[in-house]
Amino acid sequence: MVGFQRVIPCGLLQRYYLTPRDRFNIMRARYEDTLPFLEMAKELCKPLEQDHEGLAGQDETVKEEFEEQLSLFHLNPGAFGLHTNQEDMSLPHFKAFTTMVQAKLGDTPPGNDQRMAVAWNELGNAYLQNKEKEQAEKCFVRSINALDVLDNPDANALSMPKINLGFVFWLQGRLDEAAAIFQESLDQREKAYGKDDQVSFA
Amino acid sequence: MSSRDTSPNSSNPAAKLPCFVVPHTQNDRFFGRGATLDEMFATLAPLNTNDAQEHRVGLGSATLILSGLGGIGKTQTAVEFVHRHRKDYNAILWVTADSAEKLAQAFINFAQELKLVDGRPSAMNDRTLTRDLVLGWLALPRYNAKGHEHHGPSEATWLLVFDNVDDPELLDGYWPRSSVGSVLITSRGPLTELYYTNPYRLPLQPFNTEETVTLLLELTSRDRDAEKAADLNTVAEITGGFPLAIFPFARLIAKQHLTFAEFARNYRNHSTHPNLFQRHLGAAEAHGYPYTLASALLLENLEHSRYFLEVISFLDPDKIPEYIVDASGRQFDTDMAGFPHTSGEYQTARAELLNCSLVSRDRDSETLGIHRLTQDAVRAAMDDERYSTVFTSALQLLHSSWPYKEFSFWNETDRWQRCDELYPHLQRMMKLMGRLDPPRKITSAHIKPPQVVLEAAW
Repeated sequence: MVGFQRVIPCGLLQRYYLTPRDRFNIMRARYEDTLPFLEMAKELCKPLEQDHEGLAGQDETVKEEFEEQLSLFHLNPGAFGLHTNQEDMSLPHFKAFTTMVQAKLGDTPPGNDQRMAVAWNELGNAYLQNKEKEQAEKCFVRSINALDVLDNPDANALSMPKINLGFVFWLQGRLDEAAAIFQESLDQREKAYGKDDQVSFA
Repeated sequence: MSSRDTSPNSSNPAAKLPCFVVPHTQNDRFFGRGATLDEMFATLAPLNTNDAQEHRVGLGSATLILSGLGGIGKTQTAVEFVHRHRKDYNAILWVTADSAEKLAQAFINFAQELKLVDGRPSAMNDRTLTRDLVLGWLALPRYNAKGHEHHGPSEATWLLVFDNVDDPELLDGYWPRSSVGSVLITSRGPLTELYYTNPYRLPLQPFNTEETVTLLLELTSRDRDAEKAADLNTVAEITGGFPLAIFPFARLIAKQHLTFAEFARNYRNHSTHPNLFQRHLGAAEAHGYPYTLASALLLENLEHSRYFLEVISFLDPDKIPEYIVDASGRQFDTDMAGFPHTSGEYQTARAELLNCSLVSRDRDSETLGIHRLTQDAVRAAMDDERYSTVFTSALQLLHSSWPYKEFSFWNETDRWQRCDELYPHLQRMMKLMGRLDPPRKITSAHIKPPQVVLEAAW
């Protein structure tokens, strides 16, 4: 997963990230376009933020969509920072994103909404990128917990924070725990998607 | 086709030959097109009458359609062709075929020049009579032996040029029923509906980079050795090889003493385009192009497809999946009044653009293509308000084509193929943000489309 550019040996990194199939902008490693696209989105959206009266007059669905867009202005640069070794960029953006999602969801039953799990997972990556392993571990555990309470968590989503938690264990020298959780993730994925699945690039 | 009988018979009068009725003088600064002219002659070369009868029975006259975008040089190429081959035909007759009136007047003129009518004014100006006499002669092109000693084949050779055909139905009633002559048509479209002949179709291409560079140097009186090849190639690329862009751009470079690099830098600033594309072409007129690029494209004549074309001018030009712009059956947040909303409207608009070569279509991949210079000209013709409206429409179409998913880790690969098809179009729109005046008042119409940009960023 994201955030390990400096600690994974180069060959592994390349195999992990750079297979041709595995890219789509940030996901596709087209980093040069990410910030310009964010700027473009800001130019299109930010003037609207000033129209408080207009926003107040919109129905709840529109307001929610707008709020979600604004939260992406933290999620995307956070992910960009993770993938481009800019640890001072990723952490504040993911903190802000996580706070926004917490405020938004509160105690509402999540149904199948993965936002909280994604937020904790990405914040964990940002901590790990900043070499704060204990904080990272806590975040990945919270992400796993957030997925566990969903109505129908899919194996792909479940494997994301588990893989990252495995890496934290590995970096802390807790190799047995790392091996166990990696094995658990692999088993889960294989059960859901078959051997060597390509459902995602995880 | 007219039901009037124009079949040859022995009572057809003989004509005074040679006869050369072409309302355009030869352009002594005509440039390039050597291979095209050769290809045209290979199809249109006059055959010995006996050969013609042997080889062309049932096929009609040799016909070539020279097609291409407005301003690419079809008429100029045809003019050069008739002057180069003036001596290869006994008669060359040119008609500007964009209106019924011009066709009728031209055939009156042909009848008079060929001396097929007597001197009575009533006969000389009778549209039906003159047309039938000309068509009769084209079917059986006899010489007028008086004062003209002729030792060749018993029948004359001729070339009839229908220039600038937009509506092929206008040719009904003027089409020669013959197996001996040659017909050259110029048209913006390929005229696929021309049913009474089996023509050779020759799409006229823009100049290639080397030809464009040579022409730019010639028009600016610059020395190739003193210029950077990369700068020359960049300006050549900007012109797209279109004569109607090469001439005014070269004139501007010369007049303002710009380097090619300076011109390319200026051009990247899109705010210069409206002025550039509306420039009176000056030097181009001397070369036989009496239009601005915008007017040559006949944008103002588009009845069904103007909005459609405007939207396409914001997308990546090389491969536009039709599912982006075919709006039938889709709901939109933005007001897109006037944009084709049903399958029928879409097909009509698309046909209009295809028929004037403003877009091309790959039927296998169901994608459209458009030239960059056309896009630049179309956007340049918009005022700022229209620019914002169309920009929002293009973004809306991309938004409604994007394969959104519920919020998740978004690392699944199943939607990447569709995203990859749409991505170049978002990149293109990003480059065109400069002239946009973003909306200040919030509406659902303005909130949703930018989502696609955020998705592309991820």
